[in-house]
Amino acid sequence: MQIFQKRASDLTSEISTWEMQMRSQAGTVATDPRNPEVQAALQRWLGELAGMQQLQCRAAADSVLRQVQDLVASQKQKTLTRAMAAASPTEDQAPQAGSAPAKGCEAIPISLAAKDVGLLQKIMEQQCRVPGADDAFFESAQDGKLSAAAGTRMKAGVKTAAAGSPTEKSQAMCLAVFLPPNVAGSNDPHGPPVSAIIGDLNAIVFIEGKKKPGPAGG
Amino acid sequence: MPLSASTLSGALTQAGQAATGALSTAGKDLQGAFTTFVVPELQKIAAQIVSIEERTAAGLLTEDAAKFMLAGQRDHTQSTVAAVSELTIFEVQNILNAALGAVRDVVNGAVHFALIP
Repeated sequence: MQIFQKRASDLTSEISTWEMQMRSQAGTVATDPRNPEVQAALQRWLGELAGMQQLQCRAAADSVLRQVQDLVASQKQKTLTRAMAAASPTEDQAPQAGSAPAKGCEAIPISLAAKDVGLLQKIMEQQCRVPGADDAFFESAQDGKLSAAAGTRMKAGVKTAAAGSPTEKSQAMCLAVFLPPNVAGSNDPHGPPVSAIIGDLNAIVFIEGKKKPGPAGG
Repeated sequence: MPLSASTLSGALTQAGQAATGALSTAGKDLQGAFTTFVVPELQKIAAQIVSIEERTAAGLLTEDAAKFMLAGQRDHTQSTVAAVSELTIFEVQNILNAALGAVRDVVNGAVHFALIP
């Protein structure tokens, strides 16, 4: 399995598992977008996608270099000039941190997946903040113990001002992010935001599967 | 009046098919790709819109979250269709714009905000 396919598949598995956890804890501090564990997960996925994007751009650059070397070898100078002009990113296309990749990198599904992770974060900001929970409560979280500690307090019926007080409605609002559409004819197992990310990752897997293996060393 | 997924899907498909026909006149026959790859995605979009309408009506989805969800669905459709078919991402965008444009008034009227800009 090619490296992109494996990384995209691994990420799909991780996000699917994460969504199941979010469903089971929807509306609690465990799913609050201020929770450091939630933020770390989203950042980890963005980092993984950025890494895949860089690799793909490097592979595209290597491919261009090979073409140029072939052209030089065959003394096709006019074609060479045209190929270089077509292949070189303009200033507008040059990759920048956090921006979409150059068109030549063929990384559109990767950049869309990264955009959709950003959308998930925005949706959780809208839907999953625990009413009454202080920012300070999340800032005090250390070593990933926040969820367990707060969950225990909540299960015990102990509500503190700092940890907030989830209501039935706030929990249902957060759950709406992670549940698939309950509409006849829809067989999507994921909530809309996760479905979008996984769709992009599946596209990456598919595209990579279509590619023929490169020449030795490439 | 609540939206129906099948009615919405039909309207999206009809408008998308017309847009595909217009693109096909450039010498590329895209109807096969439309039927095989785009129509199933339009059905998902229809289901997504109906779900959004139900959840916003129940007060379970904010307007912004609903817009973000539809945006994500569009991204997903673009990358998926462009990956598996001969349609380019820009052709898929054109088809989606036409399809969603055709149902804009009905959908926005049903949800009482501009879900489709």
